[in-house]
Amino acid sequence: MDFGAVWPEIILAGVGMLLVLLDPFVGAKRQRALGYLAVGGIVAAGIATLFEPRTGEVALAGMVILDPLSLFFRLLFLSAALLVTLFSFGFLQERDQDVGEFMALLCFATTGAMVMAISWDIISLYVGLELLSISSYILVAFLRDERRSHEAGLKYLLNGALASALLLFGLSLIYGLTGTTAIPVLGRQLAAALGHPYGGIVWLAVGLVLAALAFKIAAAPFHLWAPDAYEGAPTPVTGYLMVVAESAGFAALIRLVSTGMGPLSTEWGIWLAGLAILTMTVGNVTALWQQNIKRMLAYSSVAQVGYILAGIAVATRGGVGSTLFYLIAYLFSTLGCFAVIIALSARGHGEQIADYAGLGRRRPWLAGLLTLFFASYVGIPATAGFMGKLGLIGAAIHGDMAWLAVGIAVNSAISIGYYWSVARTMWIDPVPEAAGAIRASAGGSISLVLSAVGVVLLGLVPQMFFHLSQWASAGVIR
Amino acid sequence: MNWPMVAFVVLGGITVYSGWRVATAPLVTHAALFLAVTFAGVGGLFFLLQADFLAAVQLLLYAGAVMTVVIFAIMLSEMKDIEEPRPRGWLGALRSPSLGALPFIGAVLLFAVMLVVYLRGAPALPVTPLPAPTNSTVFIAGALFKIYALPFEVASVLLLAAMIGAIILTRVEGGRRR
Amino acid sequence: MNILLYALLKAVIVVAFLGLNAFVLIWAERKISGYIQRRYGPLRVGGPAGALQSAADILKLLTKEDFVPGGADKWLWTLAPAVSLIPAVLVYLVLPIGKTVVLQNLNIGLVFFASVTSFTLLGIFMAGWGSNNKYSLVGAMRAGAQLFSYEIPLILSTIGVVIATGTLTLQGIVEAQAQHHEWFVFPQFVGFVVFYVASLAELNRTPFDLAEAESELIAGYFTEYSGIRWAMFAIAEYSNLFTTSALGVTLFLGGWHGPWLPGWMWFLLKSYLLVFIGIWIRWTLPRVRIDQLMDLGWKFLFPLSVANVLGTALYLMVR
Repeated sequence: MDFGAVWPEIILAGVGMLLVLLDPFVGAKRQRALGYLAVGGIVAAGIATLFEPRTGEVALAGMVILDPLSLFFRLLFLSAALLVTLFSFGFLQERDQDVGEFMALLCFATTGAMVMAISWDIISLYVGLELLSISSYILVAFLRDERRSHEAGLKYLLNGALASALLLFGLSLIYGLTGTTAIPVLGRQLAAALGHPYGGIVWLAVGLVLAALAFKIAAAPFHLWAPDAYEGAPTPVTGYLMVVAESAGFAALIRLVSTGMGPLSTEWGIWLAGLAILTMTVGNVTALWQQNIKRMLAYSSVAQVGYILAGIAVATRGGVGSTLFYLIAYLFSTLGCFAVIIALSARGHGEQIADYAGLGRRRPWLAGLLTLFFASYVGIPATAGFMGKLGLIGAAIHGDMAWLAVGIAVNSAISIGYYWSVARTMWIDPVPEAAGAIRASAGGSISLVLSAVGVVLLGLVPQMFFHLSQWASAGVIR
Repeated sequence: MNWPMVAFVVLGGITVYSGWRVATAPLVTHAALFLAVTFAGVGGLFFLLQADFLAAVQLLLYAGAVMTVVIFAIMLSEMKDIEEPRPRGWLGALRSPSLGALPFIGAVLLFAVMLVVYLRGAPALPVTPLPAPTNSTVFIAGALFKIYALPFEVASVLLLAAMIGAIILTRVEGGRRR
Repeated sequence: MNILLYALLKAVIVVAFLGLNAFVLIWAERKISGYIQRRYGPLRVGGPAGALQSAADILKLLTKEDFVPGGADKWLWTLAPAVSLIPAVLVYLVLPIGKTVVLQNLNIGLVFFASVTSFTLLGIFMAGWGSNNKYSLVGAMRAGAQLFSYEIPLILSTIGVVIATGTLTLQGIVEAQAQHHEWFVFPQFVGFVVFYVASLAELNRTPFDLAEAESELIAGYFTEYSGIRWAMFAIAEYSNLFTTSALGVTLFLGGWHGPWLPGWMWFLLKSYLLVFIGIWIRWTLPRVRIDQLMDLGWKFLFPLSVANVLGTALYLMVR
């Protein structure tokens, strides 16, 4: 058995195990070393990814495929994990938490996400999803001194378990209907099964799978767990979940639905489009009333999920390409926001939006960058989000779903409301009397700068990334 | 009526009945024991299908190990009778887990769907024929370590992560180390 | 119909053996403990060689009042002895008594054995919970923790043998030993030691009888039982003592394989030899503490059995 096709995953999981193994022998003062080890592992996995073939060859008895999409998602997850690792150092050490275990779980979760993205079979996809989910449940509940974190972990666990059960039931129905677990064969068989008298069950199966994946990516109306889980989780974990867990959900959607169920796209396309409109509207409208910045960002991420779903709903190659592009933009904007929030909440400073009053005068750079990331969320020209939304809207129009394009535009307008309220608090409101000192950690600053560079690059010279995402989406729609 | 059929009906009946009792037993310990009976019944059904390895593993892991863990979980938590709130209104009566019609209808529908899929679905489509079940152990080993080697390995990482998580979440010394 | 009759016959044989085995072992335990600890009673009373004592015991147990403690969970309490008998009976299905004498040669014999014995816990738990008695409950929980902790090294210790022979049938394992004229106790010595220690713990026998530690828990999970119900527990326990020893013989001591005598005789001889050693240990060693028990299981036997599996696999790979 040749495991050469999964070297990046092997390296990452191996580093995770090494971290757990070394953790008891590393003193409290040297915990930082474990963090460096995790960073090294992620970088090594990234390098190994670059050496993997990307010609679309199927490996490991049909379990995985090494195509451009695999490369894309592996690199996406690894970059996100790298940024999160960088800004978790300071966060964990301030709270006297165990760096080794946190980093190990982060490595395991990322491994799961990568396995999901390269899967070419239902079974490996499901196992990867579970590895990601279970590691993230623990990460959410990681702050054991905080009740909020526990509550969030429990909520995430219960909802995630329900979603897993739904997915498993849907997948078992699909296996029963088609007699195969291989993703490339699925669609044809399902389409054939549709012609039989019991064809209705195909829709039940597809519906269950879609609902379960909608749970995982927190699309409305399956998003209700997300704000609580995202608010209560340790802040770096919130960022990680929003980017990696949700992108992994999209990877599963692309593999399983766009490719696997391709022949049925006329039907699920409408469902997903409806879901997208509902999700972005619910997310944006609810975000307007939020007082807590993490909770606001949670709803804003629900809205972003809605935009991204639109790209998949149109079921064209261009649609998937713009989805991928938007995922890069989303990664940098989100992790940038979280780097700022972590820098601000480091020393007993709150997470309420009111706590941001006067930030523009105290730390203009931080406030400026946060504004930049918000601008990217909204889709102001010259930022990553603008190019991303442009791509999505274009794809929707090309895919004969102009109303979806209108939905995206209207929603972007709505979203200005809550981003503006934070910006106004930062730049216009006076500095409160009892404001503590703000000190960003070195790792946090690095990831902040990287995210900002990413957002600006994607906004100003998007061609390279645009080609990358188009190239990665080449084999998706067959 | 042949003997395997009789055995199937008896085992199936026991499994379904105890499965229902798991949901409706007022005492959580009873529910746990009914769960054990359900697992054992499923194991028996596997034996009837000549999937003897699967049956033995079902008994070993579910009726044995999982039940032990469930029982310990019950013992370590607070013991209380689960009191079902009195159903209010006709909708409440419909929804109540032990009395209501809704869970029953849901279960019957699920059952019907699965019956249709498994009776009609597979034969209509090309299915790779399984080897004759002379030695299912060898077959399972081949599937697990050759075809599904990657999911198998990922599952082992998954279990490791879950174990680490359980230790992290239950460690008693109050959040701080050293 | 024939199949049914045949199955019934097998069941009758097993149940008859169960009774006989308990009868003999109770007598043997009494006698051996008498010799080891200089107990006068067991050495003097009970007619010829004390044989009547066991008979009197049975008579006593059968004629006792059938008493259900107040507040007991009646169903569980009543069913518990029967449930604990089920695994004791079922394991006989796969024990290879002679070259051709085996009730059912399943090709997963060993896994079947392990899976059936894992049921023992349910009976114990039902007894402990159903009695509505704190000693019973604590005893059941201890037994559960103990069974759970020692089941893992027990099963892992047998895997070395399975890797070496490449089969899960008990018959096949014995034949592999007979062919090479080498019992696995020599190449798999570590496995054998782990197996034997873990099996003593599985059987809840001194020095591992924490579940019924009479000085702390009266009698553990069967505190409230008397008469025929108690007898059922005792029968199951002695039967498990025999079958576990028999499994050890099958895996490590060549099973029915041996010169001159017929196979089944060798099988019984070896099995009862292991049983004798078990009784010997019981009346010689004091009871361990619960933390020592857990340490021994998790920190010593478990890593040792894993190392044994790895070592065996590595040896077979490089050979």
